[in-house]
Amino acid sequence: MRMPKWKGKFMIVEAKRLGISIAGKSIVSSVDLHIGDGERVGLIGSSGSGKSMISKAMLGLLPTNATAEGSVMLGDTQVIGADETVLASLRGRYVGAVFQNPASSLNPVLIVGKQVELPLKLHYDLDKADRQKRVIAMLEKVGLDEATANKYPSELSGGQQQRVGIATALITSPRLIIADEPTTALDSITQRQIVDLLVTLVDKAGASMLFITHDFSVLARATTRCYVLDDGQVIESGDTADLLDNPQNAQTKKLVGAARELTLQRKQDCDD
Amino acid sequence: MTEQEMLLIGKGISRVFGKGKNQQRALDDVSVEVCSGECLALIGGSGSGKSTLTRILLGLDQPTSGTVAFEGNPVDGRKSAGYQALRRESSLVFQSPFTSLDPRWMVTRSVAEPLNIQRKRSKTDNLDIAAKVRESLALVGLDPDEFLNRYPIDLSGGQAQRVAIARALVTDPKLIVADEPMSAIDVAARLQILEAFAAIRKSRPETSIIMISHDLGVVQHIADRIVVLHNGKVVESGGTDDVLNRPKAAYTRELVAAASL
Amino acid sequence: MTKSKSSSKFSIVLRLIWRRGEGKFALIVLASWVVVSLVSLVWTPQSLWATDGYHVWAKPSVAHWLGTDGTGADVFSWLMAGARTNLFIAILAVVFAGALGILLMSAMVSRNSALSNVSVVAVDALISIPTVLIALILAVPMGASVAVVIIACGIGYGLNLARIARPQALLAANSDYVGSALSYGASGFSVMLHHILPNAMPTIMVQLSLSAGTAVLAESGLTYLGFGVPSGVPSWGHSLATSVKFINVYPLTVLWPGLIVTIVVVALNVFGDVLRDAIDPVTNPELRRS
Repeated sequence: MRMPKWKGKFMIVEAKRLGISIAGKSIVSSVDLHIGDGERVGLIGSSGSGKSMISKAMLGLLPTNATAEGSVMLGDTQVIGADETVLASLRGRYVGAVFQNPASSLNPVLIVGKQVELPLKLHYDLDKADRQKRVIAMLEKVGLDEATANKYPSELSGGQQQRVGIATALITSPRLIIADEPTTALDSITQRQIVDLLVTLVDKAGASMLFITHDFSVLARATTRCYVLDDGQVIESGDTADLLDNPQNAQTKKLVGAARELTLQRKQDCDD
Repeated sequence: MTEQEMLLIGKGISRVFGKGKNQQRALDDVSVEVCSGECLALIGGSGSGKSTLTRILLGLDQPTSGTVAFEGNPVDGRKSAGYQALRRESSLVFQSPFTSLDPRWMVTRSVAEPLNIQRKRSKTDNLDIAAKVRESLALVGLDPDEFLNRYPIDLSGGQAQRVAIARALVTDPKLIVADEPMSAIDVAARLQILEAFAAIRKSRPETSIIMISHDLGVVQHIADRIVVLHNGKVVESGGTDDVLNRPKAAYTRELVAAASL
Repeated sequence: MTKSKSSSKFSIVLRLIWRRGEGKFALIVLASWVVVSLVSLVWTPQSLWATDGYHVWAKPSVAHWLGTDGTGADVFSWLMAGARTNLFIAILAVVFAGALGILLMSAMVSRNSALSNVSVVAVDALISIPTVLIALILAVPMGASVAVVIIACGIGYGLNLARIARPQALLAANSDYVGSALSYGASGFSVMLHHILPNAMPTIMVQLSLSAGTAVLAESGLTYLGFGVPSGVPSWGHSLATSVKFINVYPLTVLWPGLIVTIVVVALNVFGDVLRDAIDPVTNPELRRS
């Protein structure tokens, strides 16, 4: 068994003919996906399109009644069919995940400081003082003050909770961040703040990101390139800005049209 | 517009939760009015007090101070004329259709429920409930023959939410209150919800709608007026065009930015 | 028209239970139980009272299919007749438990906070009393009787049912569909009947089926202890109690009632699960298509 190990900071994600079925029913079929080093790539599709299953396959977190075929390479490690010990050493260390609902992805009985510290404890051999220093520094990076470390998740707003989720995902300096609808549960202003925060932090760290959403306006802000998923298949891919300007596929047109319809069209002359 | 033509008026509403040290002021001297046939958007982020305000306007919660009147009748406890009229003349659409439709009820039964409840209470009506149910479903863009006998589990989010809207319509209410009806729905399906509301406005011009949202983008096409709530206070209110294009309050500007690309 | 509709629904449910291996097992066992109980009312291979001092503890033979007991009576006939007593007890205990449980569950999720608080505390307190103790207390004025078993089981399982069904009921009670119904002026009773109870029903069915099995076990236990079925009334507990003292010498006579009780209890436990999956439109797509 080969444990994943990277010299330097290089990590390319390559999915080839990825197929996922649950209880015999095909959810995702023959998906090819490439995330270059330091690239922010989007995966967009309406609910039931299979986008979350792809992220789960990458993390090795598919439900037990699901089967995956094809190949997903994270760096030089094959994830499909990989041993749990290999996956566990990947998760948290090289791959960080930010989930949709921070209220349920954070442990309600653990204070924020302990929550953020956990991946460090699991993957690094640091003494306590050192860990704590890094936790405080990380919280500061996501815009939370030192006092937050001693609070419980229930004492925080939705936006603050998601900031804690981001801090937990990023504290080990992973090479790849998988963000699965990280803003869907938040209100519009907080959505924008969280997307901007993620982009800034990911770029600063030089990590790559897979951003999953059903909303093109969020996608446009978060990613440079994207794949459009419909009914388990990639129906269109390319530069996010180009796709928004000139969608080809009918389903993509629908998604883009919806995003445009729900974006404010303000009169030019009264822009401030 | 005189007070008589106002459908619903909330005046100087404050709501304080908790006692002593843990006191929290959810609403602070908020006044709103809704005219007949208008669509009012109530905008605010989480914790802005918009849900509390809605409950109070519907008579489901009592304000700490302030008054609510429906068609000129005070809404003040379960016995009041305003409260009784609200139960008869108002309908609710909730955020998530999957928790607002009984998973073990067929669409036809869910949509017919308000009529069945009201018929039992008034005992005078002999209207054709089945026809009314079909009419409501058709209005929100769902083919009755296809959807009448389905269960919620077999519906998409957009379809289920339109069933919930059909249920809200079936009593021909004077007021429909929609509490973030699109935030739990896919972006693509949100347009279907918007179209359903647009269809209601067209075919029932006398029906008033209160649309609660945190997103200016989803209300821009449907709302006549916008009231922006922030930290329990009204920070801005006015015609949709004014608020979107000439926002005055700093918070509204933030909202505008968040809804623009 | 409504009749044919409901009968077709019944056949769908039956077909779905039958399709599963464990469902077949449960249906066969439970149907046999009912048939044997009914037959025993009019016919048993030997008279229950045909004792024979010369042929006690006899081995199985053509005349006595499972041999005879310590009085020389036919073991098979007594087990057949025991089936009806146990069926009677199980049905009445479940009906009693169901009624009590649903009533308490409704009180626990009631919108009247005084009623719900009191009932939650009451159920939590009463549930700590073991069923055996309830039977013991009841046996003081009533003596050993079938009624003691039924009432003790009914109270014990009713309390359990209320506590186990409460989370499901609470979920429905706090849901937006109940909120919607209330906003149109629906009464608390109507919401309970049409929304909360149907949504708690899957849990209730499983629990009641388990309770029927436990009632069979409890009958044996209570009868053995002497406050269950009085001597002379045929029941599986009675068959066990009268032979268990001789288990070292004549183990077979203990084996038969023990085996039957075990099979019936397993069948009832399994039945609850398959029945729940079959009658719930949320888990059974075929019911939704009809």
